[in-house]
Amino acid sequence: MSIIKLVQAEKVYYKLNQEIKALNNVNIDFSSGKFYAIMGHSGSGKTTLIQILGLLDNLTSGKYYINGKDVENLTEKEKASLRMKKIGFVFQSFHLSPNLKAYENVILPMIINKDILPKNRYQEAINILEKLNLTNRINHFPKELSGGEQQRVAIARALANNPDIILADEPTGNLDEKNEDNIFKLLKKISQSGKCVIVVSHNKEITKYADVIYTMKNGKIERLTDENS
Amino acid sequence: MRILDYISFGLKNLIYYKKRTIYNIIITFSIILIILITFTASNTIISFLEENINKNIEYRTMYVKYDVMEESLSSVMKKLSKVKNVIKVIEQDKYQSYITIDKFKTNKTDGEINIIASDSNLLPSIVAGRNPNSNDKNYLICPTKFIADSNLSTRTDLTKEDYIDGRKFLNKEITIKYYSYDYSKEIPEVLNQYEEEFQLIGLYNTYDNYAKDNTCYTSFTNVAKINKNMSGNSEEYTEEVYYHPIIIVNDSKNIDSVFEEINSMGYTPIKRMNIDSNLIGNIKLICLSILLIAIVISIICMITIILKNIKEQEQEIGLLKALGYTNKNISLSFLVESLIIGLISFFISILIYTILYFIISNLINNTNLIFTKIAINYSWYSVLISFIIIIIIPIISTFTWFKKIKNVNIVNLINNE
Ligand SMILES: Nc1ncnc2c1ncn2[C@@H]1O[C@H](COP(=O)(O)OP(=O)(O)OP(=O)(O)O)[C@@H](O)[C@H]1O
Ligand SMILES: [Mg+2]
Repeated sequence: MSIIKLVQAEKVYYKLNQEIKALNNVNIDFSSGKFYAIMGHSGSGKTTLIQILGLLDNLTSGKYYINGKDVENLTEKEKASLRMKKIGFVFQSFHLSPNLKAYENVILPMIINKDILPKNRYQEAINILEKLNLTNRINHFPKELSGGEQQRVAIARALANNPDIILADEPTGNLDEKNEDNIFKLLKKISQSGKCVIVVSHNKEITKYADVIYTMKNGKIERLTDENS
Repeated sequence: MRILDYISFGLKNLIYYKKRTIYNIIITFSIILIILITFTASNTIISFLEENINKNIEYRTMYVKYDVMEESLSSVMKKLSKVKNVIKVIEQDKYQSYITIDKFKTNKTDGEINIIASDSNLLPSIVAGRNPNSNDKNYLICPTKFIADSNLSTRTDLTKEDYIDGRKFLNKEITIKYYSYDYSKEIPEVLNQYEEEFQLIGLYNTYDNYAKDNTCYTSFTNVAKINKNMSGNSEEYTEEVYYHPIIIVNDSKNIDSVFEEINSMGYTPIKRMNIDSNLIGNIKLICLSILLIAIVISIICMITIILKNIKEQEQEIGLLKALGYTNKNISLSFLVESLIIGLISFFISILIYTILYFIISNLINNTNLIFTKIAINYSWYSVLISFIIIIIIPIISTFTWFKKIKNVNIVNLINNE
């Protein structure tokens, strides 16, 4: 069953009186337990798409449903709540808080989650970091970590509130090949644990791991793998 | 999000950005210190002006002229005593007199002092010796440094050396001298010479109450007695003498309203000494404007710091929003951060202010300068006001900003470098 769904989605940017259709009639479904790759040339609209899916931006027209609910009808507070509980976002440049240690960065999303008791936060964070092989790095500040480690902390943070959807925009963009493979493997594993993982990348490597591959061109999206996969 | 989370959040941020935090604390505490100091300074100046003028009975005293053909002195005095803020009504001849003291004579001065009737409520503050009590009969309160001369106001040849040190005579018996005259003669001749023993029991600073340098105080009874003696046989030989009443007002602030009131009763009040109320008003105005400017500048500085702080962390704000933090969560985090800075700065500035207060008060108390003892008051008022500023300004600026940022696109915030 699809967990998120875009229907006739359009996103138009206006720059110097020029209309840029970053998303052009996009119709797409994503299901739990699958690893989706979104590929495409620079400027094709990948970031725009994933930001909309992450509720970081709004559509110009069309519909976006999460768990069957139309996002347009949600208040700012409800959207914030969805970002907290339903969605984990991984940025290309990690965006870790430099003033917080690795485990504190993971706790950051838990602070606003009433379902996690304050006294349990630390243990939860350690558990997640352990799964990502960061046991020895929990007390490090971001600047004391390698790029690959930082991205794993960022992924740990995205997993903090056990969201159903993991979104990543070029998560390996700042990493070398070895770390790249590691991150893709990790995301694959996460999808296998029942989550919907959507990763934007123009790196061919990703095709080895993805269950479903989409490609974007001038704001339009096209499925490369067949429907059954 | 619990309050504890906000605080630990804020503290972690403040500790990590040490430099910025220290810089902000220094600026904020300087701002508060400036408010505290300006407040105290202007307070001190204003109360100094007001209190010290009040200490000089002459500024609160008026002659009242009336039509002697129409009304009797006693009836006028009765009416005057009912005027609001008037605390004493006496006959003119019971208010002041002139006497000579041989011991006060120098080769340049004639030893005459002006004695003014007073009581313990009306006296200036005593800086050496003591206040008179009900057992004291022949007492004098004189300046710490004074010149005894009948023409004091017109003499220009007197210098610092001509001042008499009041402490030399403190607690000593001194003989006062005055004369009564025989008014039966064309040119009145001395009828009687009076000599009486007085004791100088206390000293005051003329700087404290702007009294003339030859002014001493004694009781109303003494002044009345001296003047009675001095008048000699005048009642028998001179034309009728009309005395005018003198009134004393409770506070120099009320002198103008009493003046108006008496005027409207059909009498002519004449002030003994004019307060330059314009000058005092101007000084007050200057003090208050400086204070106001200090407060406004402080508030602007604080708002700037807070907003700059927020501006520098826009990317962080974007991230927090992406993680699901609501605008309220984020605003409160910044508010708590600003409040922590404000409170730390507040306590530092109170500490410095208190230390400064004790140092300066001690300095003033321990110097034997001829200058008056300025009373610096610890300004609880300014402590309260700065505390309010410390609390209110972060709240206002955070929530103004919150309204502005409410609908800013998260993507724009995150991509803000
Ligand atoms: N804020 C904006 N204002 C105007 N135009 C924008 C804005 N953001 C993106 N665009 C335009 O929308 C189109 C899609 O941009 P997007 O960032 O989604 O591309 P992308 O596929 O992520 O590219 P890349 O691989 O380089 O990251 C581009 O033509 C871009 O110039
Ligand atoms: Mg992109």
